[in-house]
Amino acid sequence: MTLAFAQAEAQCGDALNEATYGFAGRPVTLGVVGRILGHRTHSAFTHLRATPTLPDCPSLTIELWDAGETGVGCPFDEESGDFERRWLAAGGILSSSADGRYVGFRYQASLTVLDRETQRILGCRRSGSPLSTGEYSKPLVHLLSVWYHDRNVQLLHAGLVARDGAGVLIPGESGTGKSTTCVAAAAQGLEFLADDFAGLEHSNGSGFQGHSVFGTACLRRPDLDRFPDIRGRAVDDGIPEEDKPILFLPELYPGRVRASVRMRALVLLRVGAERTEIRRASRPDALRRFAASTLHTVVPRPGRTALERLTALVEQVPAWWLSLGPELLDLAPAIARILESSSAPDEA
Amino acid sequence: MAEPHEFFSPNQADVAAKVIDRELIAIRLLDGTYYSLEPVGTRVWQLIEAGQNVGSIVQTVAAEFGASVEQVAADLRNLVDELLSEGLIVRRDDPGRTAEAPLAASGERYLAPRLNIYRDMGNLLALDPPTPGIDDLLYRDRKRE
Repeated sequence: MTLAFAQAEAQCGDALNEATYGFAGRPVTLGVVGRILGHRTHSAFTHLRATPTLPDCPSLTIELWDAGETGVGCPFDEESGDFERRWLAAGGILSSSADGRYVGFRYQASLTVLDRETQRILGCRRSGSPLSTGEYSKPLVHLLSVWYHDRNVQLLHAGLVARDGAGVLIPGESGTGKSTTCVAAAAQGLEFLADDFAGLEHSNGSGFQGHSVFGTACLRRPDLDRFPDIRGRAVDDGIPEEDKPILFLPELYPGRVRASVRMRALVLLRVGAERTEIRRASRPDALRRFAASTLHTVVPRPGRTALERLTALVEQVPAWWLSLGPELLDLAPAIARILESSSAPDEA
Repeated sequence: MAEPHEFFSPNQADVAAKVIDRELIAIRLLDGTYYSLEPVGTRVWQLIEAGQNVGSIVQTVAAEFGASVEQVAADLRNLVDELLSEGLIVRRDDPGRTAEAPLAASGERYLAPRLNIYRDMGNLLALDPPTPGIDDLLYRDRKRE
């Protein structure tokens, strides 16, 4: 695969789009050969552009190419004996070598492989077919989930917003108002980190940190219509059955999309209330809600250590119910009240 | 039906469980069904984990919560049957390694233990094939060790 990427680069070197990012504070180099694929893949990560403080040696190297544009096909076949284990997952096929070193994911016209020994993701894509909403807005999410897991960063199905670096984690299945809440918060001046997938890391001495993974949000059209100022800038992936336009938050709200925050509060959403209200939630309520909605909607499914990490999270970070009324403008003040009422873990 | 001399243990292979504020939250990992138990049921779970047999659990719970042994024995039979049928615990042939159970909370009133079952996520996931778990993808990277 590495050789194939080098061939693709040799064929179309002027179409190489390369940048370094910080994924949960670890330097990651992403190189893509192919103009459209490059633009689209980088778009989800622009807010994570590396700062000079990151070490030079990458923790992960990602190399992707467009097979149609470069003329270099995919040399890898996950049907081969190297990938003995295969599962249908997230609309594609997740595969793994017997020793777990290689993890592959095939989705429609894309095939990507994570090598956990060399810390490298390689992948190619047949050109011509549109990227799905997931591939465009959350590229490589399943392989990144494994990579993050190997660094004790748990990918959660949750939104994450913040104010002045104090984060509010919002779990919830699809349709619970998570994305709408996160976009509304950003629109009203709060900081955005995630609408769907956030990284959770526990560091001894500094509590829980939340990490942004993608700078995108996907809203169903009726929900997008509640944001008349930005709905015209949502990107339609052109796949009618998905019909979930993508918002690129760093373009919409420059400076309001953060890479990492300290976790200050947990928010459990309730939709359909007459007015927006907050009240404290019990720790069992928080654990139930988090465990149910975050542990079973991530591929690969997190194991029992994730439940232990979530338990520690709800023991350290206060949880609140946020009942969502019809008025979007009430959201940011409610989240601000939650933050003001939630002392930092080391102040408690 | 659970007999007084029988031993059980949490189904470690398929279930993750944690106690927080005297409430047990358990998740069946394969299908996402999750469960909770209130304080009396949680105490039963802790005593099962500690390796006590059913008869011993009945005595302990009755003493700690000030309830009659007959009442606790009847309630426990129902609870154990339900925990078994949901796959949250498994029968054991022997006591295995016993452990110290956490101390009981004081002042709690006895209420018949009830297993709360939340199938919403399980029903949602039933539409999809079972997804692989991260534990299915274990890899020991010797370079990083």
